[in-house]
Amino acid sequence: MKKRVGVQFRKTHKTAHVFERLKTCTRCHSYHVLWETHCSECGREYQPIRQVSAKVTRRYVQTRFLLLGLFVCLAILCADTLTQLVVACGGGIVLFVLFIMMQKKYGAYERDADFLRYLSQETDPIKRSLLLHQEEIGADVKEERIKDAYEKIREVGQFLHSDTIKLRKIMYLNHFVLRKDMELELESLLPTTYDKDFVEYLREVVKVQPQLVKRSVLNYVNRYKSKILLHENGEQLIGQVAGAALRMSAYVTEYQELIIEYIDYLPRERLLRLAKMISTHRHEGWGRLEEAVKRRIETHHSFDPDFHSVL
Amino acid sequence: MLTYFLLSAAVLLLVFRFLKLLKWKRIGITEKQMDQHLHDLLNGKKELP
Repeated sequence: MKKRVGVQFRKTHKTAHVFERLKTCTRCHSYHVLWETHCSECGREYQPIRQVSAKVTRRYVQTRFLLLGLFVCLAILCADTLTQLVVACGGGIVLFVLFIMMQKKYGAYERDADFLRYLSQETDPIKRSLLLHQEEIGADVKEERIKDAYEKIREVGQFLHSDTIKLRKIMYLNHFVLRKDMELELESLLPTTYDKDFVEYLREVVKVQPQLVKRSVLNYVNRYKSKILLHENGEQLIGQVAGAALRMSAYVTEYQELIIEYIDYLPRERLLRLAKMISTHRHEGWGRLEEAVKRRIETHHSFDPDFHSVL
Repeated sequence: MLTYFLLSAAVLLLVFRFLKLLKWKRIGITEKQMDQHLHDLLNGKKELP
């Protein structure tokens, strides 16, 4: 078994949406998703892409305003009579006011639509920049800077959801000692097929952050149960995952069969929690589960005082 | 006469702009959709219509 090293990961910059993590250098026309604030090529500060797209929209609106102004000015200049002059001036003012009001009320919708178009147009440069980041990651790995490589791929992984990225992240994570205080991920690393490195990672994560075990992880374990059993202490691992499912009664109902099957591998504290859950949710169709728990308690914990008061 | 013609052109420009803005308002793109759009573009899925 390879030796794991203790590390402290850089804190990730939290954003409500992924596109907010994407920055651009307007001079080099390159994109950046890591933590640097200035372009490594030209030194110019990176700008959020939303802001850049909004600038393009603003320029478009300004040209429309100028066009409107041009028509109104020409109308005033071409006026032959006083009436025409008054109509042109009055009409011009009304049109300007309407334009500004319209822009204030609906301008934001246009900015959003233009942003979508901007993203579509810029897909290739964004992809190229992400590829460059991946090359940097490859260089980090070659020089054994696995922590840097993981931190970078964690950012790139926000944009790319391929199995390759997930498996590389898992490979890097398996170099480290995982702790409770780390910002770990599990659901986002689920590969589409069975992967032994992921199962080893799951083993470590479930020890330190069992709250990361969600429905998709339980489904994965259920699907590849037979392969996980081939791992060293595979039963214990499934037992730990089943134990993590006891956080919510909905999971208990949904994964009842898995829990019953691996009840012998549930840690004592998890079995006690399950017994308490069953005693408070007696009418949820957990009959078979109750029987299995009772049997387990009778055979292994009949002298344990903590179990006497439940079931 | 040319004055009225130019003013009508300005009005027409404003009407077109209003209709365009109204169309975007009706579509009402959310930030979640923008995120999804970006994901789809980068991960080779089908684009939004």
